[in-house]
Amino acid sequence: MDCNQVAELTPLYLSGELDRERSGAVDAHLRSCPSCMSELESQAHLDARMREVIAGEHVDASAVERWIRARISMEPRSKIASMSPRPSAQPHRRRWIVATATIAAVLLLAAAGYRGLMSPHVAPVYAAAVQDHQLEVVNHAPRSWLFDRAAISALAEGQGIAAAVPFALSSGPYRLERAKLCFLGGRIFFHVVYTDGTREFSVYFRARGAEPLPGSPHEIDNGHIVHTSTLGAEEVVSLQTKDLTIMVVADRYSGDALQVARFAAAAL
Amino acid sequence: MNERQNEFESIAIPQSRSLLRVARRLTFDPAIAEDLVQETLLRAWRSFDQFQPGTNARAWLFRILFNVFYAQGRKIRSSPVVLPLQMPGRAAERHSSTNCSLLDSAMLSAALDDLSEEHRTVILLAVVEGFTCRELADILGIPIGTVMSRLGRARQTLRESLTPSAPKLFRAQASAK
Repeated sequence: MDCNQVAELTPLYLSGELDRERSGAVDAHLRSCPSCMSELESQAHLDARMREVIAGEHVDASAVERWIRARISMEPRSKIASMSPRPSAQPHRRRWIVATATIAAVLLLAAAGYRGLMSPHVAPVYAAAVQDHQLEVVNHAPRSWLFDRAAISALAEGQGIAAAVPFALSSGPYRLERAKLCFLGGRIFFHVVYTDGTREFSVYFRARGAEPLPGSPHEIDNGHIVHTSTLGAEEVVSLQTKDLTIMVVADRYSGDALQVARFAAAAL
Repeated sequence: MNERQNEFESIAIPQSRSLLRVARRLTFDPAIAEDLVQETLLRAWRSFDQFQPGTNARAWLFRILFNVFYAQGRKIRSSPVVLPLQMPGRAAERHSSTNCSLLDSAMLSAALDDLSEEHRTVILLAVVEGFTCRELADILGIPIGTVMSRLGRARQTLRESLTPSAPKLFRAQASAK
């Protein structure tokens, strides 16, 4: 075995994965080659020191553990599917879906004309938004929120959301409090918490993809179809603008979610 | 708490610190790292029925972590970077000795953060978390030969950044891969 072969096998040698025959051959080479021996020794040394330093760093996972325990107790025999994967861009299909959805909405509104058209099955992404809102806003899970205006803008832009978007809703009766990113149904959403002075509510933003919004349409505001769902004590009102998918989660009895969504439909 | 919850509690929850440690060095953002680990554990819980007791739970959890990370990676990586200990390109200047035992923690940490994501990943999994090359291949979904060459290059880069006078014996073969 030569120096090249030893170098190639070093990762397996250091992790103890070489079979006895090859391990013996490496050992034999090392005994006769001080240069390879010294190289291997310094690698092993650096590995040990790296492990000691990085594994020794303080990592506090208590917030994560509390969160997952709470989630598990919410879905003890869970089989909730994540939101279906985003379809590839299909402009024609998308226009068709939007057109169909619009016609469906108009027909439904004409036929029903009432609020709270609730599907018996709440879409997983809405259920995830409600659970997230309950844990992180209603129950105040200890999380790293951003409060700084510039940092919030940067966070939004990193997600393909215009920096002004979170602040567009922070006018009139509403004030932006804090923001962070979160996963809902396996996708990243930009989560912003607003208050009207007495109650807090959540708005989840995401750069719009090709996917249509799940759920039943409720009304059309400023050309945007607004969907509503209720789950427990919360209401989710969602809409899509040209660039954004938006979900508002608030206490269902306050009626705030729909008002905020109407405000968003006009402002964005 | 039912039996499955107890089982999950004893198998998966103890790995949360390891998962978070790796997630933080992948995302460089404590909040996103927490979300990444939460999503990982949630997915693990939802597919816990498919997990076979007695098989490698750690590797299974890390496989899920990397699946989530790669699925969302571009967005995660474009987030604001906060690197309290990182001094890009400075690690070598601050140290001229080849004696690794003298390397201080901040420099090692900075050198690790300076590595490319691919190299940082294999060092974290193999060196810090102690996974074998076969387990790495399984976790990352890449051939074992790729794991070996990546690990070789990553170790060499790390040593060069920490010790400018490090022997270059293995570099020629490593970079030829």
